[in-house]
Amino acid sequence: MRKLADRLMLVPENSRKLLARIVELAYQRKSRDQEKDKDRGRDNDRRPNTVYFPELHESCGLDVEAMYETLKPLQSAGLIEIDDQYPFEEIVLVAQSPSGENALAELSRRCELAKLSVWDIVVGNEWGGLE
Amino acid sequence: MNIDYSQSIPNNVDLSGDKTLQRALERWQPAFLGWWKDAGPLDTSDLQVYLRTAVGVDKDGWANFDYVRMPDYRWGIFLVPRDEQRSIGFGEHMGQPAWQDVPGEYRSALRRIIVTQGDTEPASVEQQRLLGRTAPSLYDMRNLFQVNVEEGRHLWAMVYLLHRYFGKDGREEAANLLERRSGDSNNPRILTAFNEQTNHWLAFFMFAFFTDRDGKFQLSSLAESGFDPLSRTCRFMLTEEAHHLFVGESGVARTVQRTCEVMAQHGITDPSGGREHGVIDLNTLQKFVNFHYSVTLDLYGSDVSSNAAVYYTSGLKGRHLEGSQNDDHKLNSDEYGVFEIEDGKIVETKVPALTAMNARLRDDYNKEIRAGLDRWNRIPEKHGISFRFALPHQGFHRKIGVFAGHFVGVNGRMMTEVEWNSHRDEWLPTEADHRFVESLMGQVIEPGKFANWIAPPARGINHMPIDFRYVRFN
Repeated sequence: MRKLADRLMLVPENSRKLLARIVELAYQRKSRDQEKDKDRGRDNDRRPNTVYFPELHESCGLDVEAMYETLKPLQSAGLIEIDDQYPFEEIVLVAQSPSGENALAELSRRCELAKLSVWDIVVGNEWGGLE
Repeated sequence: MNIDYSQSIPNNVDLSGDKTLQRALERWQPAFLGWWKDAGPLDTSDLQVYLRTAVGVDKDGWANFDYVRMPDYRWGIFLVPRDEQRSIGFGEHMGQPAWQDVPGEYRSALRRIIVTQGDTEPASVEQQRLLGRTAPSLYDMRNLFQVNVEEGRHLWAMVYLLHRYFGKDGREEAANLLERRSGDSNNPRILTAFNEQTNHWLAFFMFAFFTDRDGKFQLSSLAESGFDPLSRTCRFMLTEEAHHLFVGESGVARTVQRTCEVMAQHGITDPSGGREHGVIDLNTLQKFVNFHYSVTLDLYGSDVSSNAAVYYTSGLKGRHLEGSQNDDHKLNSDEYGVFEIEDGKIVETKVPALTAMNARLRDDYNKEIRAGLDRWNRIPEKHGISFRFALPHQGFHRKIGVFAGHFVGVNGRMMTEVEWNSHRDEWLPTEADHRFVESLMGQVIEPGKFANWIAPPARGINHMPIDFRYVRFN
């Protein structure tokens, strides 16, 4: 987690906010009506560690240009990759932890166990609760 | 800051604390619903649509998705939370606390700004009202209706400001917003582009990419306003507008994708080819780019504008991303480059930056448009097709500003009217082009199926699969 924290320090706040949203979508998809949405086939065909542009646009209100600009620092920091198949691009979370697990998946899992918000960690830099 | 949905008009502005205002808006509400019934999406009142509804304005997630009949959609009034420390960021009042009420000397100007913005919102719904009948898929039909209900909500946003801050004049203007009609020769919408017909889905996607984006830039400059309620309103509107722009860009991209797939499959290299396989050829798509781009440029107004200078100096309307501009935010001594016509030639000249606000906003818009076209151009490239989309010159097909009355080719060459007209059909969609595109339009309502002229998206909405029943019919 220390290496991830160091990497995040290099990323501007807006991009960290977007990353928090991406992590939530990838690993903590909240549905206000879990059972009904499960019956509707929600999340049936998701790829692991992946988030899609339409859902990201609808969840955070960033438009296309702002989205690409805000994603760039995350790409530069090696936290995400964008699968270059426009117009069907996907955002893949790629940072690896020393254990080989996806670092952001691990962060999400540990936040859920500790009942901490990914937002507070990634944006607020409040790593103390995870230690 | 959550939205109170227990009230007849959902809001986060404590409407129940102002009974006079609440009653006035509750009297406007049935008129709005009457407008939606008369001029909104045709024959859709019984459809159940999988729509997103704003439930909050903060970082924890602001939208809920579920089926709703559109007349039952909970249109409401949402502003981003107030920043008590916010100050005016530009102009002669820079540094002063942002205004929470309308300064008397700017009342008329602010009202005009809000009415002009507000008029565009119902206009686009009116332009698009027949499109549900030819939706290429349930996914696209849902996206159209999502855009429509949110433009309706944007109308509510402007009407709230008119009622709350502009007294009797504001109430009259709010009523008039429901009286005007797109394309009505007796009572048209204020801006020309909003009286054009949107008679097929390509026009809708192009409108959402080009013309809604002008909306984005207008909202962005109004989000800087020293009049804080206007700023807060526009900032929330921008979050909703983001999806509309995505619908436009991805809609055109999927159309290009399908055309390129068919061309590659059949070994077609000529960009005018493909129609025989039921797709829109690349040359025709370029003509629609030329049209929608040029009519949208006119929405920015004249390049040199004393009104725009006054709006800026007065603190009413800033620049896009004003805070990021590296200057004194007063611009009294600054210059900006604009086009002029001298001796039959297009030249660039420097004018006082304050008078070039429209030109600057248009340039900001152009940067984004070019980036969008660059993304579209990845599609023919990946299919091995040499065609590339290009933007026509800013002077092409213009009716407002320095180029009005002149005849400029797509490459920026000045010419006579006769010569321009001889090229017209190469550059702009003809009636035959419109008829051809319309001939492809047919309603597709089987879940997971898409019309032949457009590629399916990669993913569905809100994690739902592509074959989810996004619209339910009785």
